[in-house]
Amino acid sequence: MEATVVDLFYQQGRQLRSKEMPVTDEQLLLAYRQTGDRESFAQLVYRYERELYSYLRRYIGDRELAQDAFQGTFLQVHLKCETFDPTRRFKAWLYAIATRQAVDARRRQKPHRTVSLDSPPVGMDEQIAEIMGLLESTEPSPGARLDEAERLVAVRQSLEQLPENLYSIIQLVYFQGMSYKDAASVLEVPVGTVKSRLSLAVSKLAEAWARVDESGS
Amino acid sequence: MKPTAEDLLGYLLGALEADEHRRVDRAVSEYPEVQYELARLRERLAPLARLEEVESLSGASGADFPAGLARRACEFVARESRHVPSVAGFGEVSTVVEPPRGLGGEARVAVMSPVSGEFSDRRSWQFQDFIVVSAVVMLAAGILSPAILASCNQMRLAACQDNLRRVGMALFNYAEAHDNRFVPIARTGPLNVAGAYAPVLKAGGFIEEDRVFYCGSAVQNGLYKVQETPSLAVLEEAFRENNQQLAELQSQMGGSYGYSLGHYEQDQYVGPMNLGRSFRVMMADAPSPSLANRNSANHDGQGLNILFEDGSVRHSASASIGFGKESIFLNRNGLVAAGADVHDSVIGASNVSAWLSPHFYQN
Repeated sequence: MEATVVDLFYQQGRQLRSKEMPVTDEQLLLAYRQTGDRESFAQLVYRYERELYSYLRRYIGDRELAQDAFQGTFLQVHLKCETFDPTRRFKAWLYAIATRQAVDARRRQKPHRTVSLDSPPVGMDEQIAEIMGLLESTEPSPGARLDEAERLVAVRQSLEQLPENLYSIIQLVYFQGMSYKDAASVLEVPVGTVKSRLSLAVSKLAEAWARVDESGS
Repeated sequence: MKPTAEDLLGYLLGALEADEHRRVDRAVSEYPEVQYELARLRERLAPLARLEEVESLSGASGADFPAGLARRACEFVARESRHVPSVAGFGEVSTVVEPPRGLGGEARVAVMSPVSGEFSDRRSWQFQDFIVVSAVVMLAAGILSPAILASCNQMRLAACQDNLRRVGMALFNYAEAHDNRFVPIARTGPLNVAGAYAPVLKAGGFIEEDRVFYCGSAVQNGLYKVQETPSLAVLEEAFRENNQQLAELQSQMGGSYGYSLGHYEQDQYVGPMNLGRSFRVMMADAPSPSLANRNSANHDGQGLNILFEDGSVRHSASASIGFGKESIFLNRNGLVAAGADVHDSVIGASNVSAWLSPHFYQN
């Protein structure tokens, strides 16, 4: 039987370097900073491609703007890599940059997201239609689907109307599943602040949802 | 001590550190009121959980992932950093040269003094003028000849890059028609070497001119002679007859370029494929076993051109690139063979096989 390269590795008792020497994010960034090695930079971009896009997509709520923010984030990584503190985790630093990009994107988008108390928000019908479409497989009755869709759009909007400092905590801790400590590192605030902000955000959301339920009943 | 509402929220969302989590865990099992508080919090979060659940059915959670995002981000950074370089990595590709700016930000423009009336009135050249002009011409020739030479080298380098781009484009077109796979290296038969890409691209009509497979510098240096790329029928015949002609054809058919040998993934060989990765090498000036590190001799040992999987072509001073400065002509185990894993790009010369074969050898 013809030997393969892999057979040879095993014959020689070698391990693949990638298995025995995992390269950390921090090592890649420092390598890029010191040598300008593009592959190190590209590896970082590829490592965080899906995770970071998913975060930005949910945070900003717009596919195109999320892509712009993703590119903007890595441009900032390139421009500011000299300022990276090697004692800090790269992921926290990256999320800090990405969050700033997302906040800017939402701010620019704000005039289009303005919600009036007297009239339904712009695009509400489209959002309801979108959610009704998603519920089609789980909720057979059109009437029940409509009720559920309206409620979920209200939930989404109450989330979007949170002050930015509470909104970012929900995004990081609830949706991204970060620990209090990691979220504190991203937002550069004490852990206690993260805890109290999250608690406040949940209370505000609960109040908003209670109002929705009252008005619906 | 009973946990606070914030601790319970962190406990529900998995946001606590391990020791805090254990502490809340104990409290939950000990105190019914803590269990009640936890259930109340869970209920408060239910609408958010439902929203997340429904949105996960659509693209809002990232399921509508835009293809090639990382590649485009790398290109964006490369483009933008031309204007605002930071570290050498992307800044070094700068082709935009801004004029120096004055304090007010305006471009400085040299202002010539007007020619004096006395000089402009003179109608004919005098002997001293000839001396001065001759000296200036000789001086200029002395200064410019290395520059002219360098400029010729640059032109040849650019022409070689252009060839690689054209071959790259042909490979992309081929991959588009073949489920994102570039020209494969067959396990047996006449196409079981890296040079297979050229006859396959030509036979498929993806490339018509043979000279595209040759770097102009290498041809000028006498390392290669532009040959007609053999047809698949000629190769098949040579293979059937199993004669010396096959070895000659295989060593020539890839021109002066090397091609990706693919890689191994969980013991399975994977041929070259298009994932648009900006750091994965697809082709390059062919290696030279006589030079250190198997560097290419195509450009008089002055580096080599490399085609990456995202279609970009870059010049590198050495065959050792990337993190760890690994040679693109050897795999991670120092072998001229397919890559050890998906991150291991290896470029083989025309007659090199990805498989262990008579062509296989250890450096």
